[in-house]
Amino acid sequence: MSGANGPDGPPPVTYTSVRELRGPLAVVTGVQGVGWDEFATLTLASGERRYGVVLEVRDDIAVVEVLEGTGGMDPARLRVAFAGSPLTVPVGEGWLGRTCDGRGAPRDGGPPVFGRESAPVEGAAINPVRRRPPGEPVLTGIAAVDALTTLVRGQKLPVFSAAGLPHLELAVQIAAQATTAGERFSVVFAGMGLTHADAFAVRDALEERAAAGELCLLLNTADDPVIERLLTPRLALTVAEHLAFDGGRHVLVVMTDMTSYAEALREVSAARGEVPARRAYPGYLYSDLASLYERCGRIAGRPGSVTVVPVLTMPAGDLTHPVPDLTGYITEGQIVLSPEIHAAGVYPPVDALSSLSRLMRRGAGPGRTRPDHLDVAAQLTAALARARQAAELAALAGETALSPADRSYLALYPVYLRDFLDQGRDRTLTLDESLERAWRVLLTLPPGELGMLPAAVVRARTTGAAP
Amino acid sequence: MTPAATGPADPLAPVRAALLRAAEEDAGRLVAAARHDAGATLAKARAAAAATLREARRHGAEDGARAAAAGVAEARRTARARLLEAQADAYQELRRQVLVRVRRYRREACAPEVRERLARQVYRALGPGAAVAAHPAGGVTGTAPGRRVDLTPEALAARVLDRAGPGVEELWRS
Amino acid sequence: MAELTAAGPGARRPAASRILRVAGPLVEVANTGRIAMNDLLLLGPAQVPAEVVALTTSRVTAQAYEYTGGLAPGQPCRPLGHPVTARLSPALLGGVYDGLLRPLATAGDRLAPGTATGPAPGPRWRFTPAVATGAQAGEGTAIGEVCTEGGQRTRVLVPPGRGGEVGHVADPGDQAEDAVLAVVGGTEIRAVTDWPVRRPRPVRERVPARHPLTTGQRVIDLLFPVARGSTVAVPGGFGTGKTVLLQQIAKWCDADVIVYVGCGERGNEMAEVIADFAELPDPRTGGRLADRTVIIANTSNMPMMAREASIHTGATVAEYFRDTGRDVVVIADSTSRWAEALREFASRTGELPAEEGYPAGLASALAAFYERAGAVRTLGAGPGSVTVLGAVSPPGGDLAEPVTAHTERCVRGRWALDRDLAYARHYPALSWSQSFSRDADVLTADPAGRDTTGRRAAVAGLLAEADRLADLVDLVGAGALPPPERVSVLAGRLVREGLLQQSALSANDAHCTPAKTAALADAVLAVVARCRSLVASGTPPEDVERADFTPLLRAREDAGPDDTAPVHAARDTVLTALGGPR
Repeated sequence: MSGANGPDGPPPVTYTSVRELRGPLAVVTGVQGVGWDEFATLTLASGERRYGVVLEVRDDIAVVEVLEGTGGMDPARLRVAFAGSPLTVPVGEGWLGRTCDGRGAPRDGGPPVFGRESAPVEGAAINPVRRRPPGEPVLTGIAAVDALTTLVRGQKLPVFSAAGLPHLELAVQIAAQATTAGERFSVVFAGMGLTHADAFAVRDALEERAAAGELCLLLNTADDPVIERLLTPRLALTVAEHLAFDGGRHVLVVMTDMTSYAEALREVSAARGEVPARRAYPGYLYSDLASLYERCGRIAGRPGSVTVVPVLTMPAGDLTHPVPDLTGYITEGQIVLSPEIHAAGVYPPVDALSSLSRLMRRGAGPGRTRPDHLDVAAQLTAALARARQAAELAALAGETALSPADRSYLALYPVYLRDFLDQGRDRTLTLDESLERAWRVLLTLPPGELGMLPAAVVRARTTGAAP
Repeated sequence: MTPAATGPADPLAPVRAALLRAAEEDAGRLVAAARHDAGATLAKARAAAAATLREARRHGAEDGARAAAAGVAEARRTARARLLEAQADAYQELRRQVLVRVRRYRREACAPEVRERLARQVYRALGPGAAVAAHPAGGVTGTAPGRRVDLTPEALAARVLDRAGPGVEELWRS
Repeated sequence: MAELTAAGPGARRPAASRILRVAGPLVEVANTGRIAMNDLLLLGPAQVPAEVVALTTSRVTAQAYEYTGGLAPGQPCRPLGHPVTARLSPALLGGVYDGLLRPLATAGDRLAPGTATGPAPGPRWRFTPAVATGAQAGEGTAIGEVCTEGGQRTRVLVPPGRGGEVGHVADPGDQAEDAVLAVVGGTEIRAVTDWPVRRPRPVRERVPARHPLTTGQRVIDLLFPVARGSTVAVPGGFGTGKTVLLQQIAKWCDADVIVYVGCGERGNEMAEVIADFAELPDPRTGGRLADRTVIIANTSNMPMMAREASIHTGATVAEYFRDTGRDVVVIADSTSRWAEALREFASRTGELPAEEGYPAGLASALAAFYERAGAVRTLGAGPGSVTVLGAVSPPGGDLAEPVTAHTERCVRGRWALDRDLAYARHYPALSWSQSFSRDADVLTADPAGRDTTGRRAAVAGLLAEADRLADLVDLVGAGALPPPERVSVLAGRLVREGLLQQSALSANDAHCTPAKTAALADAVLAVVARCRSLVASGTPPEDVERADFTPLLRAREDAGPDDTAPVHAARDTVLTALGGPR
């Protein structure tokens, strides 16, 4: 982590004139040529180093926000050096196989991560004219995702969850299993506000991928500085962008938990004395989240892609809470986890009816996955909707009031849970396996109910012949 | 290794380059040893896993296969941890040696013409009113109210190392 | 950044200044005199553009339009002496621009600050003069027209506030983009003209909006029509298909020019819009849809303050084409993101917050934007119009939140999108109970002169009746209703599925002409009328419900966009199947 003080620049000046410490802020006087958002290194009397960014510069005064907080700092014995530029990080393959903390310092006992180039963590927006619309799938090995809400390269598709649901397990499983059909693929996993137990679990579960040099793991734990949590996803995306657009890889960025991230943002905003908007989150929460999620995509004339899967917990399961609500406005669909399905002991507890991949058509179907993919997905989703209606009707009027067709839908649901959805935490399903599981569920219905599927294919399946 | 850090006027550049090269060789040996170690650990674990597996097959238990797999994973984890540790040691060793050797160049860094050039850099950074002091370890330090510039060989070497990234990585890439 | 530095006539020349304070997009510089409100400044070595938002005798406060990282006190600042200006040109058609109307086609893969480039080498176009030397030409008079390579003809006008005797006219034929095409009353007139984006372009007079804009979406054209020159808010939570609906309107409505302002929305979505428009043919001209479209793309990760300007830029471009005698539609997606930019900056300047942190001036800012719409007589005395469709993204789907609430007070229509309809895959998910159109009262006929009021009232009546019964049905089941009510429930379904639903992906039905809309509505009404008379004359309602309505429900998909014969045939098939009353 460093600024880009050019090798030919003047020698770095260290400032000793810290006038004030207040909350996370240090006010440095007498500065010259220090720019806004510049990166700073603060050295304490003990030799300990902390890092910060310039929040405001006014005349010869710079206000520095200290990432690790100002606790234990004595202004009289504090030295502050400015990097000459906003924060940059080294980028390149050096990150692969490494486990670091939320600001990129090693957590795996290894040396610092180096790179031939460095890039600003803030990133720069992709020119909309140069974007290539997302296309081609990222296969996660999860039936509910691959078959029904296909993740597409360059897409941003969040997982909406609630406390107590296995979203972290699902995020880790996706990170461990995802592939792009033989093309070079990497995963950047950004954990924010994780407990130490969760951090260990994540590290263990992804060990194999790390050993294969396909994973960069950034873990910010709950006791790490709050401001560092704001840096974690930016670092992850900067690393990912370089691996993708300069390294030609398809990169999946998993970011969890975005609700912890947003809470950190709220905390920092309050400390800065900013005017709050909805539920005390800062008014720029939408733009801030967009500045992360929008870093996914594909660029015309360059190989590689960045696909983003943010995971967020909805406080009290509330979809109108600002974090899921604003996320929903930015992302291209959502994968929703259901407490009811979880309670039934099914993993992963994906609520297929509330879930949607808006870009699925660009990543699935003839020439992309399998010719019958979209039809099977549409038919299964429609069947689940009918099953839900039938269940509601049965609850009101009793099962005897159902038509024979409705009864077949009612019977389909448990089969769907058991034979399609429930796949366990260690199991990777190929796309063919996932679609065959879907077929098995659909074929419990009378053939007349399968109107969205080509009649010939249904006939072949029901008579036992191959399609 | 990256080029000298303070530009063409930097009097210590050739000195640093030479000692970094020397340190690299030591670090390279360190990592090679660790890699050998890690390879041996992993081979041992694989052999143990194979034995576990044979044993398991004999008992017809699936648990055994899982235990064998877990054993290999555990060994892989250990091996990787050792390798990373060795790389970190190599890097620390490099830093230590560079600083040790920089001290040996104290005489050069105390030469009046070197101090002269370094003082000019101080004035450039802090203005003509800055106070310049010769440092016993060589080089100079400059101070002005609230500001400070450190141009001792140790500070210079530390700055070079901070930016020596990709070069250092070559230590364990081969 | 040639178009930002262009000095208008009579520009002041303030002295160079320097930066005093930087806090995010808020930058303060020394007031060196002759700097005015809304003036443009270029900050630092990267020449980051910024707009003056407050002034004292010693300090100037500006909002920067790009990332200000690295800007430091003491760095230079160049005041340009004129406000943020858009360079208006016939060549804008078919292009994609950022919020300050800088072309994106010539920018790089990444939009780093200071990397914005000037326009591509100017196009050449064919000029045809319309005035002779010695004639009198007042403001807004067309001195001729230019024809771009895309075949678009655009009039070249005497600018507002100018006029007099024509001293010189260029010869017909090829001319460079910035060639002087005429001199009128001493003013050089070019096809390209600068205009400050925050000042509405003047017109001779506003006229009542009386002519319908056909959007190609049945639920809108039939139930909630919009007049050319009117304003509509389109509120909808995420996932309700707001952007898809607006894109459909951009593609198929019968305006002359579309200004599509992607304001704080998704990058991938903008990429799709750009690709779609470049590929799709314009059904009216046979050219590309892109040739009648100006896209202003300021995605959510592009600088927030340029997002604030993009709305005004879009309105200015629309007014420019309006003044050349066109009917223009501005689509702003989404005005909520624009309002957030206002809030963000107000909070940085320490303005007292009103509701939910928005500045107290939010309502008037929204009103000022929507007031730029209107049907007019231009300065050149011809007709023209600007219609504004503004998407609103209410947080949590809460229609009482400030942006939605203030917007509703200044628009003539509301197309509210409903999550329940979207969830039931009923698209467009436009809620008939939550939407309104104040234009409906004056738009009593469609473009072909057919009366629309009766049909509209009949369909709206069926929907309202079906909605009223829906709760009852949930409680007691449809079977328990009296026979006439059972027909009403059936009628609601026929209207929803046979008439209102329209798939954006359909080859035949993505858009719909007024003729097909009328035919479908009449077909559904005729079938419902027959069902009523059957039940009234004693046919059991079960028999009516069991009839095969499939041909009627499929008619919208089977008939082409302007096809009525298959609709009539489907109606007749169903009527025959139902039979006559006993």
